[in-house]
Amino acid sequence: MKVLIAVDGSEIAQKAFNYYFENFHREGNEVLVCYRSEQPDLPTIMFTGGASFPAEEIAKIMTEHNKKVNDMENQYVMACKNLKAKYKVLFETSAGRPGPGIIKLVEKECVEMIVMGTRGLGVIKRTVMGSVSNYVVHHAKVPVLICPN
Amino acid sequence: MKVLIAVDASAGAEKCCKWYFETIHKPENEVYIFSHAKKPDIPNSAFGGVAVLLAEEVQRTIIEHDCAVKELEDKYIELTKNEPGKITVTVETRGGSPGSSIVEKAGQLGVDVIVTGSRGLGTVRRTILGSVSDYVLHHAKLPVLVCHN
Repeated sequence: MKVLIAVDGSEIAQKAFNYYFENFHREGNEVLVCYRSEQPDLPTIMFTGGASFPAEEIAKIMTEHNKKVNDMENQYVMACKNLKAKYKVLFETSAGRPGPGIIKLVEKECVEMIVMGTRGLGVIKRTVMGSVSNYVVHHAKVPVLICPN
Repeated sequence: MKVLIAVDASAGAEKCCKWYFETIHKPENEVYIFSHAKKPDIPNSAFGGVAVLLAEEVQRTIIEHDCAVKELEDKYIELTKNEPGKITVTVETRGGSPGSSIVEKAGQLGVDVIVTGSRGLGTVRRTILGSVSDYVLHHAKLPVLVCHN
């Protein structure tokens, strides 16, 4: 069975990943770990004694962001290797929202089950489920395992 | 792992249960297949403003209800008779909503995950997620596996 584990940098995502392997994984399952990262907020104009296009600032933010994503990717690659699972790690930064990105990937890769946390790095904590898991559970055409903290 | 599979008389619930056993189940898992049967409406009729309980009608309603309950129980016992591991089928007649019933039962049994279909016998088709699975997702403090067909 092909399983997609949708992660972000949060602890809940990590827990969902571990939970899947401890309780649901079967030998022979192929695991896709995906992170649909949103582009970080980039400054458009900076005023330092006259308007200037903050190319340096933007480059710095993007480099930091890419490094964080790469480190996370490596971390999950190592984890999958240690668990001896058949795996693919697909980390991508895009301008689009993560929810639709995950659904598109599920369809493209013919995934049969999705695993994700109830919430991730999002700021609004009032709701039980974060916006991305909420989107995925309502739009996925395959079983979705939602893991709370 | 203790698993509660929430079912009703719908084909969706049956598919969900079958899918669980084909792709997720492990012999060491303890499975509880649970269905909340709604308390039957006891008919009464008014004769010139005086309510009269029709004993025969009432008896018939109760017998029909008990038959439906037994049918559902038998269906799932038959479905799972060849599966390894401890499997218990319970159909309980309760008041209150199916959603809260499921969450309560899950708490009572101390299960580790709730498996539910995305929709069951409900009539409102506009929504993607039925009211019961929606309730369970938002109120269970456990991992929930929602099986879309």
